[in-house]
Amino acid sequence: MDDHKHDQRIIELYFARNEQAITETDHRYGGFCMRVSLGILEDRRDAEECVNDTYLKAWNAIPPTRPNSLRAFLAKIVRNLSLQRLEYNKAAKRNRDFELSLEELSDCIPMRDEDADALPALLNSFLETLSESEWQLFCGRYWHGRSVKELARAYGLTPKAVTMRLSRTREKLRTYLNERGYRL
Amino acid sequence: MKPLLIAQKMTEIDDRFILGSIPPTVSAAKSSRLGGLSRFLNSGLGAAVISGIVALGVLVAVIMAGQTDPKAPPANTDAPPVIESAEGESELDTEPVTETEAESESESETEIVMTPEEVEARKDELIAILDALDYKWNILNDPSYYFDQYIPVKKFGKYAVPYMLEYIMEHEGETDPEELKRLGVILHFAYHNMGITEVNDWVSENSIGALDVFQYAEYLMEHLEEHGFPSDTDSSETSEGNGAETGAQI
Repeated sequence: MDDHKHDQRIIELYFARNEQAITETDHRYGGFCMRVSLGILEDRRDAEECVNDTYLKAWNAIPPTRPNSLRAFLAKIVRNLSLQRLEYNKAAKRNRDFELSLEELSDCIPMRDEDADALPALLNSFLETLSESEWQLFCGRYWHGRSVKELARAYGLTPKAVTMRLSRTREKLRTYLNERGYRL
Repeated sequence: MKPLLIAQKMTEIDDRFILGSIPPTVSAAKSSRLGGLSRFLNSGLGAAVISGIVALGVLVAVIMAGQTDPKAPPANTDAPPVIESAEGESELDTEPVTETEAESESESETEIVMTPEEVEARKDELIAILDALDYKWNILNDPSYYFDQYIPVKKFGKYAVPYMLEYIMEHEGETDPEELKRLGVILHFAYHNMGITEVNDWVSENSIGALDVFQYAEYLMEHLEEHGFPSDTDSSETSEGNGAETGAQI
């Protein structure tokens, strides 16, 4: 059974209000959701809570929502919950590496809070301009919260090469936004 | 803009960027095992299995014969250069080519036969490359994918093949379709680098796990057929729809 069919089967379980949907979701995507959360949070127990809350959110959202990609749907929920938990946590429990990645990103986004709603579309159009390897590294770092070392290992690069490529991509993003009138 | 607000807004980017940027990890693949070993052990062996491997080899040979000359430059520079050369820059980088990068490119396009000792010394590098191999079956249909993936592996030469087969065997029982595709690509490289006879010799000389390689090959064969190999050019991994209903809005 391919991914899409498998996901559709799980989604049908949600629609049928069959609690097996949660078990199947955990079986298939539990590890993945955990990894997304651990990209943001330092504490494993916090991450586990976020993953469990993700299942509850999914249960409450499906139906009526029918996600095209269950994996992406869950990833977005668990990432949002993890970000909320990150904000809530005291400084001692925060993930320093993720916070560092946030600082890197904010340095190249010269936008005000009131422009926040425009950011997702701008990021999408910016990512379209990049090569696949560039956006894979960029999203690996700033969406999935992976460390430079992890990315280097995953993509067969040196940490220095990853750092350089991310730096170049951030500079491109800054220029891209400047050209569209976003300056501080 | 506050960093956390940026992170929250970034959550809403298109699904394809999220799904396409999940960093590949061996450990994640291992954790997803669902006990498929029994399936392999219960599957047909002997002549049927070997004929399956031969069929795969022939299939690969036919495909390889249909490919552009491997030493020709990549046709599509927009394709994702995932693997980088030893100097740390991709062969397909569009930035000005320095002398070092030019040397690297030249080296990558030349078949380098390392000694067993050299391969052993660089085993970690080989494993990292195998870890990073792209999942897409486009590799067998799109020359640019082919070059990106093939050249870094090829530079290790035939002595790398046992490590590649061991790598595949480490994933014995794997049932995740995407991971299986990646393993299929590795198996493809192993056959292409060493040839069927050599693979048979290798498994006969290494009694431990030799049978598993055959069984795994059969399983991969089934998987290839299920996915319409080799005419399936749909890169479904990164082209899933991006519907209006997204988890970011929940």
